[in-house]
Amino acid sequence: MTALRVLLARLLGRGRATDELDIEVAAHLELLAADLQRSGLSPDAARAEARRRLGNLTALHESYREQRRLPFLEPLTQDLAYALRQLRRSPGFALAAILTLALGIGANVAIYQALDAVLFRELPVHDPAGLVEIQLLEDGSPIHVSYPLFRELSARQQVLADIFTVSDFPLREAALRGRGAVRSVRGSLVSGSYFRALGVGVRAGRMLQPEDDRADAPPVAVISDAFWTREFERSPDALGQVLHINNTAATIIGVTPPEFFGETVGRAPDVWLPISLQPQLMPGDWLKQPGMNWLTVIGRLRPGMSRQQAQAAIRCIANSLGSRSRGWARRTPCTLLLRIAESAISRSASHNRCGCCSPSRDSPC
Amino acid sequence: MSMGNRSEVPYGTLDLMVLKTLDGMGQLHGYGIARRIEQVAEGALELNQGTIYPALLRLEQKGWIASEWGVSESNRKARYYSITQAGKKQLALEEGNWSRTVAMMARMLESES
Repeated sequence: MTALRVLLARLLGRGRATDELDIEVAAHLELLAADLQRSGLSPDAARAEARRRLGNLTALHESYREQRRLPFLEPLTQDLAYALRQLRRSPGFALAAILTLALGIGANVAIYQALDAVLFRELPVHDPAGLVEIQLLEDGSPIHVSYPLFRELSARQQVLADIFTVSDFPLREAALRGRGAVRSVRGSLVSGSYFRALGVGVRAGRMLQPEDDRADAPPVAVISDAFWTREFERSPDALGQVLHINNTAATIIGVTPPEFFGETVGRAPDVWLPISLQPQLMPGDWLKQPGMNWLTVIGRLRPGMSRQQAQAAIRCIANSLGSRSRGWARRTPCTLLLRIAESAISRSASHNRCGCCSPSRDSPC
Repeated sequence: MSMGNRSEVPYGTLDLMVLKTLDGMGQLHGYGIARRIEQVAEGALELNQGTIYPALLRLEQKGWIASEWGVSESNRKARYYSITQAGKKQLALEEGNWSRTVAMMARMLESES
């Protein structure tokens, strides 16, 4: 209780300051000297005697200061000192205790860091809640989309303000040559509207645009801030230099902002390349193969558009595509289902909320 | 029993003396309390007068006395102390303890002889 009272007094500004003691002591000395004078001493002798009677002033200040300290502090520091002495006497036990605590604390920190990255931190894109993923369903589970299907979706859909596709799977360990020893970098293939749809600003240079994502466009690349720091020490000369990735030369045209790490938490690419470069970067032209499902398709809802409305629109498109039996999915087209799901990059961590549906006869298509 | 720099008076009894003094005399400053204690002790007590200040601080921290600034007889700023309700209760408690202790010691010492 005393501790609380003292703390409260301190906080309310009623704690004792050291010079206040000086004032009290000065008053005390004066009164005492006056009394001694009255009993016959000379003024000087009275003052001297008064000072003597008051005792050692330094010691007084010391014990006053001690008393002023928060009362629980002294026993606390004593206990801590005792604990340390005891620990020093049995180092084995101390070590075991320390290791256990370290493991426990470390594990907790790691978990919270992961949670922070996934749940609590919002991705540095514009309005992540407005982003949705268009998923292809096979037997009720989402699978990746093929490039021709993506092109069809882009062309037909009107319900999304913007749509893009991304895949980091082919370039997960791309070979970077020409900058010392060959080493692997993490790359991401994206369609031309990727950065625009995400609403990502630029740290230096410019971002990929739809014009760069054409078969006849000169190969360009956007690098991450971390890669820029690692490889180029944040030098502005990086812009315009050529990266040799998987034997394809791409010119660096821009650097992403430092906090941007892509569209998926946990996979931070070093470099983004236009998807049209895919045939040059690896054997096989996947862009022309409807059976090759390797893409994630994400779009941004138009303002005021709900996911249900988008879902209905997508259903229409799915129906019209399916009826042409072009083999958009690995199986027969009648299993083609598209659904709008909450994009992986919107804040919530749960993706599998089922907004899905099956093509129904009474849909307005 | 001397405690070195601290008062010649055993630790707990100084508190009791201060409380009793303030209870009887109303508001006093530090010098006034010290002087009164010496008076009552009739010279049998050597009180290192400075030690009263940490004691007063301690009593105020415990909430048994309260203080406010005033002006001394020689027109100097001085802090005046008075006993609180809680202080009066504590005083009664300690007086009881003290009487019991004294009585017990008396019995103890009488029985020796």
